[in-house]
This record gives sequence, structure tokens and C-alpha cells, in this order.
Amino acid sequence: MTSTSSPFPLLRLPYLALEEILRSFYCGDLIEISACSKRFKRIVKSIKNEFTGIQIKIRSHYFTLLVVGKDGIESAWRTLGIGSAVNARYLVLGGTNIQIKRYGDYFGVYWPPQTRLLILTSLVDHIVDSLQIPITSVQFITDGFEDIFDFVPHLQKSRNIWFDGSKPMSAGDRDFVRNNTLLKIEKGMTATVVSVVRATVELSKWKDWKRGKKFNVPCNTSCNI
Amino acid sequence: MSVEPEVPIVQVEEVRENPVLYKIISSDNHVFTISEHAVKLSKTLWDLITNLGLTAENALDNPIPVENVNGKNMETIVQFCERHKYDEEEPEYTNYIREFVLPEWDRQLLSIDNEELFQLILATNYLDIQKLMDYCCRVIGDMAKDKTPEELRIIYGIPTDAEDDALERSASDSPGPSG
Repeated sequence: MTSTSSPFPLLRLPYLALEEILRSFYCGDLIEISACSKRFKRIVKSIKNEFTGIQIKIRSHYFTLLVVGKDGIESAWRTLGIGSAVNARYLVLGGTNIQIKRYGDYFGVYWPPQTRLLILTSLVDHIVDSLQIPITSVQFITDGFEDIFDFVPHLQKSRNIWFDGSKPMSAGDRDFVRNNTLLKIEKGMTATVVSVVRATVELSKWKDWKRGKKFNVPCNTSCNI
Repeated sequence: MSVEPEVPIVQVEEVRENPVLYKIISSDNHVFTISEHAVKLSKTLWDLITNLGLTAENALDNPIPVENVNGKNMETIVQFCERHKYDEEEPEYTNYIREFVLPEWDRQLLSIDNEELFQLILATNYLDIQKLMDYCCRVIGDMAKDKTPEELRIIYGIPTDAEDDALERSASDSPGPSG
């Protein structure tokens, strides 16, 4: 194997060679190396990659974040179970200390209640910024998620936001979502509209939808959001 | 084309099935012979050969000087190209570079220290040998596997933000060419 006695001088390489090397990195390694320094993060940002977006699912005490590429999931970040933070190491992102455990492309994240928002937003911001990819979907599981609307504005750039819960959203909640996200509700953008009104749909239709039956939201429904 | 070799010609691999051979002279005057199929793996060398109009008849009489690559790296490169000259085209799909497994022969060839690997990559980049570049990238990418940012900083010699700032300050404080 290659000797580790002296560092491999990555930053002394010509840009094209450096780009080629960074393109051979696994997604998780790219995320970690872009946390090394601001300069290195700028380099990673400038490299064209094949990742297409981030998918997030959040409930009150649990989240999953998937970095998706053309061939599927490239890296998965998920809440560590209670007590699993023993021997976790720190990943410092934007000044925030995040306790993680890594298992290949899977990262377990310690998500203590008092810093949930800070940790999630630091992680999302770092990945979005480093890999220059969009948040393609955020799914909130609303049941028991009392501070859910603290999270919404931080994920407002998501192309789709879904609210899943047993109770319909109130008119005030829907107004909040409308005023704090970049979702544009226009005729023909049914996918986005479905995402926002999903929690208001009656349960039977909702179960059909979950089973894969797609329904269209008429335009006048979107106007009520 | 008048460079006189100071050391004996290094015959890396005899090529019986292909009579067309080319001579390459490294920066330290080592001379290598390489078959036509093998030299085609280097876009730079093959462009040079084409532009110089070298043919089967005159190739060995017109050695090609490569001033940016020393004999040690050239030997590795010639070995690699001869080894892979009949390989099929690599599949082109998104994760190829991250998914292929480095063959054992190549892993052995690239088991060199980091400074040598760095010089080999510079040579490979200059000679534009995509396959060898892919393999070197795999070796360097593997060094990063499952490492923490602190470990990566050591492996790749990445300065911290504070070190970068200090370097920037000292660069801006130092007098310019006229000062």
C-alpha cells in the first residue's frame, strides 16, 4: 500500500488532476473533506459532481437525509438511537459540533432535543453548499412535532414539502407554509400543490395515495391554500 | 531528435505481435521502447507521433523526447500501457470511477510513496493517459475512505483555515517584485 509517511500533496496538483481525483471520491468522503477548510470547501463546490439532490424526512425526534445521485442513494444520514452516541466523533460544520458515527456511506447523527434545529440546518446547509445540489423534497411527519414550524423556514428552498399527519393542517398553518416557503402555487404545478395540501385530504383518499394511486388536485383547491 | 542516451535502452516488454515500435526519451535521458497499441493510451504521445508523421519505417530512428517525465515515471507508464494496451473500452456510467476494483497487478504497480505517486500523476496528466489517471485517482480516493476531516487534513496535507489565513497574510505582506 501507499506509504503514509508524508502527506499526499493534493493541493499541489494541477486543477484538472485535482478535479478528477475529487470526482472519484465517495459522497460521504467528499462531504467530510469539504469540512476540512473553507478553501477546500470552495474547491469541492467548484467540482462538477453527479449528485442530483437531497431528500429529507423529519419527525419530532428522528430524521433521515439522503443524498441521491443518478444511480440511487449515495449517502444516508440518520438519527442515532438514544445511547448510541457513545464513542461518536465530532464533525464541525459551520461552527456547529455534530456528533456522528460513520458506517461506510451511512452516517448516524446524535440529535439531542435542545439542538435539533441547529444540527439539521448545519448539516443540510453544508451538504447543499458543498455539493451544490438542491433539496428536492422534505417530508414532515407532523404528529407530535410541536416545533415543526421552526424548521419550515430553514428548508424553504425545497422543491417539494410534504406534511403527513393524522390531523388536517389549520388555515393558519397553511398560511404560514405559504408565506415561509418558496413553493409557487400555480396552475399545472399539481405535484407541489399536492405536497402542501396533503394533510387536508381525507384519510381514505390519503391511504389510496400512499398505495400509489395518484390523484390530481384541481386548480381551485390550490387557490384555497 | 539528437538526444544521445546516457544509459542503455530499457526494453520494458518485447512486443512480437506488433512490429511498430516507438522510442521515447525521458527527461533524464533514459530510452524506452513502446508498442503502437500501448502508446495510443497516451493522447499526448499519440498526437505527437501523428503530428510528427512517424511511421513503422522511421519510428525507431526518431526518438521522442519527453522533457516533463523522468525515467522512473516513464518506466511505470510504459509498463502500465503495455499491460493495458488490449483492454476493452471502460464502461461509461456515472459511478464507474468509484465502483471499479483496482486489479492486483495495478495496485502493486501503484504501491509507491506519496511523493512518487504525486509525480506519477503529474506525468500521467501531462501525457493524458485516462486509464492510468483513473487508477491513480482510485488509489488516492481510497486513502480518504471513512476518514475524519482531521485525518484527511493529515493524509492530504490540507491547511486549516487559520493556516490558510496566515499564508494569505504573509503573501500580501511580502514585497512585490519591485519592492
